[in-house]
Amino acid sequence: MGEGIEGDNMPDVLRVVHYLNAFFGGLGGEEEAHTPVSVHPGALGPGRLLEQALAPQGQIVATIVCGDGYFADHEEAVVAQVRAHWQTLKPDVFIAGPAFRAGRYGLACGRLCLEAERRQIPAVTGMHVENPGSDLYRPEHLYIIATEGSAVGMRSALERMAALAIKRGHRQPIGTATDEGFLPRAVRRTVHTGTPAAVRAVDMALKKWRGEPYTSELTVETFEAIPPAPPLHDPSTALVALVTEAGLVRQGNPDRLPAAAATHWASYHVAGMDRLVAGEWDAVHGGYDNTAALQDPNRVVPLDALRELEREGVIGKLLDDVFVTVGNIGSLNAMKRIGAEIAATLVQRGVQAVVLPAT
Amino acid sequence: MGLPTVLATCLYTVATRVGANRIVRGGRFHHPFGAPEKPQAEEYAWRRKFVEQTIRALCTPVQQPTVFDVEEAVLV
Amino acid sequence: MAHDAGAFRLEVGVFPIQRMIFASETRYQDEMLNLDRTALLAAIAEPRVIANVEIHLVHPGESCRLIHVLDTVAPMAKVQGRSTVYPGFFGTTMPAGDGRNHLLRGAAVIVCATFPEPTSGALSPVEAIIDMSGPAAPYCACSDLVNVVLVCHPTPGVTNADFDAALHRAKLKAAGYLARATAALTPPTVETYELSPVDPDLPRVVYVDQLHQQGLMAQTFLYGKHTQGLEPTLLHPNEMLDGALVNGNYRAPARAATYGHTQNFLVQELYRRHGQDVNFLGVVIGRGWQDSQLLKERQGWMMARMARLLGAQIAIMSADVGGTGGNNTIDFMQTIKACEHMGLQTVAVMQESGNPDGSDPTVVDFVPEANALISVGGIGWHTPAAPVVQRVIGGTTVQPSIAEEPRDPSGPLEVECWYGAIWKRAELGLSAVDV
Repeated sequence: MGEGIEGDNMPDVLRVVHYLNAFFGGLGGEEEAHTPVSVHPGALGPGRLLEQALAPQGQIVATIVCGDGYFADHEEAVVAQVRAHWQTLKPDVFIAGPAFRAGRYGLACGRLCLEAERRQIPAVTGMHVENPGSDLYRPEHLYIIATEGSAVGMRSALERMAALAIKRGHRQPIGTATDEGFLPRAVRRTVHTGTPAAVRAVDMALKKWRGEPYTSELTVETFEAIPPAPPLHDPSTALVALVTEAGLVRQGNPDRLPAAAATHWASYHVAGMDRLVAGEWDAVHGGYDNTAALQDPNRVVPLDALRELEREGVIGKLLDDVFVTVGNIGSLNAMKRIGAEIAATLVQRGVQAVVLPAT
Repeated sequence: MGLPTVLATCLYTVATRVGANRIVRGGRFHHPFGAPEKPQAEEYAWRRKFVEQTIRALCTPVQQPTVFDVEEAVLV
Repeated sequence: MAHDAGAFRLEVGVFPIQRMIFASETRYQDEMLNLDRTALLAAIAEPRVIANVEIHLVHPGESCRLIHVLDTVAPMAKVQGRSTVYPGFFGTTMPAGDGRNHLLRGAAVIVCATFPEPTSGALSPVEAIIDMSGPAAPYCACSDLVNVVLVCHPTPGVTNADFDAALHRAKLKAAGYLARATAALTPPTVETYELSPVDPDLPRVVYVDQLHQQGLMAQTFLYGKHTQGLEPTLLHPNEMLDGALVNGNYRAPARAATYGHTQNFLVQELYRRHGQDVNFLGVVIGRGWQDSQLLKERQGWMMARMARLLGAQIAIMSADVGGTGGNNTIDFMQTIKACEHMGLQTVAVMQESGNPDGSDPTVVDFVPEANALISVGGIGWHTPAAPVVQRVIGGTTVQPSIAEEPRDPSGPLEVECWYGAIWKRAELGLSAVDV
């Protein structure tokens, strides 16, 4: 689709593909949760209301339906099928849900919207802020309209989803989360309020004091739960690696790790070393006083103690290299990438467990 | 990935919030494995004990972010 | 006995400054300061430690860039009263906050220097830059002031600690020297600061100020002494106006400055509204960057109990003159939490982390009790790139990050180290929204 040039490649009526779970799609009866993927021309169930809200700028050309249980059990296969349907249907916009509080439905909507965005298909979904799909997919910057907890809020949810979908389909500028009704999606933008912070602070304090409504200017992202890795069964045979964000580097910082906002990592050979020797290492992380670390780097990366445990057979072997980055004011995206890269390297080298000193 | 990983830090509230599942707590953030106020031999003994605790955490099944306490360093 | 200390009634005679020029004699006239450079040098000289001081004058709108900025100081002097401004650095300390000061409004002393000994880790100065014109200027503190810039060079062999101590003395002496040009003059306006009794039904508000203190290069001084071991204590706002807090923090260029303490944005606002819609009780100060989670939690309670014992009902908080970041945010959040648990309503002013496209988590740490936050947005977000400048003061290379090579400071710059950017954003009314 052409981007940014008015009137170039802009559709007259947006082709919308709608995703519903089998319950809302009216399919499958009692076993509806296990209904496999199906495609239907036009709108189904609440899609009819959605289509009214989309008219005349948008039209639902097809509805994709899948049971929430089936989706959960066959997620990758379902995603592949839906992608194939998009290839045929060529939607201008993809709308999923709304899922309200239904957790599996919300996760399905979120995943499919993410897949759509990755294929440059603008996507909009809707769910309650506490739906697990909200927590998981907001950090992916998806547009998720905030809905009530149940289908009581269907009409208003669909109206806002339609309005946002039209803007996205036409590449029009999108307003703030508050204006458009979507959940904070981990993207912020500077604004000029016209009022100094001190004035706003005292004003807000007085509203809070008086019990009047006010809106906090900062909301906080939640983090997805990471499924815990299973424990080590026998440490005496395990290959253990040391990874740190403390910025402990060879004297002279040969890999030029920055004091903050790191975008890369380094590794240092420690084979044959029984301990880290003061003077051979520097600590460049700009967020902590490195005096103690410089006097004895083992206080940050405990090579001495781990070597003793290795000699005694408490752990099988310590990896020959220590992996280092700087975790000071690190961008989350950069740290995710750094972590993934280090993890991939460790797995490739047969590492079975990691000790991660953090400052 | 499935690599059991133990985070050794004293700032455990940040760690639990971001979802680190095995956290061993102690030291000061300038030196998670250090106790420079102790004499050298005592400090090493403390460090070894702390490292043993991190290995034990690696061997412990967990369902969610879990903080394994080593005894809190004495406040100066 | 005179009983003339502790009334906490401060008069500030304000002398506006539009322009400064070098001249044979220091004189204030018609909003202009003629400055005898030689006399100023003689007043601030520290020959054992500072080999030489360049003195420059810069005005808003000039194509001029200041680099290696360490601190900025409001030019003021006490003309009546037993204490001094910036008490504690030169001789006996009296409680500040009384008497009469003369203040040159529209001007600042700026000190730039490079430390002689190498540093690494947290206790290192970080590059800080002020552009006096161009797209970055509005985001730099003091770009709208007439600045007397002291570029100080260390004598060979001096330690960082000794050099730093001398820099504090030199900048404070300079600030006093400039203001004393007006000592015999009648100020065009006099502002009076006192916390007079007000309607008892007005909510009692305390300003909770978390200070930056980690060690050399990252310090805040209270009455001349660094705050490493500070337990939370109380300040009358006049003590802040009088310079009881002096900045020695060079690792957070966006946030702290002596100027930011004496012209503290929340002190000014609470004073303005004292008796209107608030009863301003005073300021609780404490140091952030406590060394462990336990000490951070303790710090929260120690700050909150002070506010509570004062009888505050509302606590308005900031850290480092509006900046929060790194694990300092934990101390900050613990303080909010403790205040709320002690029954105070809190509002806190914060900056946001995250990268320039705004797509990263906004804060390092958080507590659910922090439900009323004012954001000044994020450093480095949408700060326009700065152009080539004609004049650079303070050094010959800049190194905004230790991961990069030092480079020519006069060229176009895309950096985030604009001096005082946080309190500038607070002043300008910048914030951020979810989009």
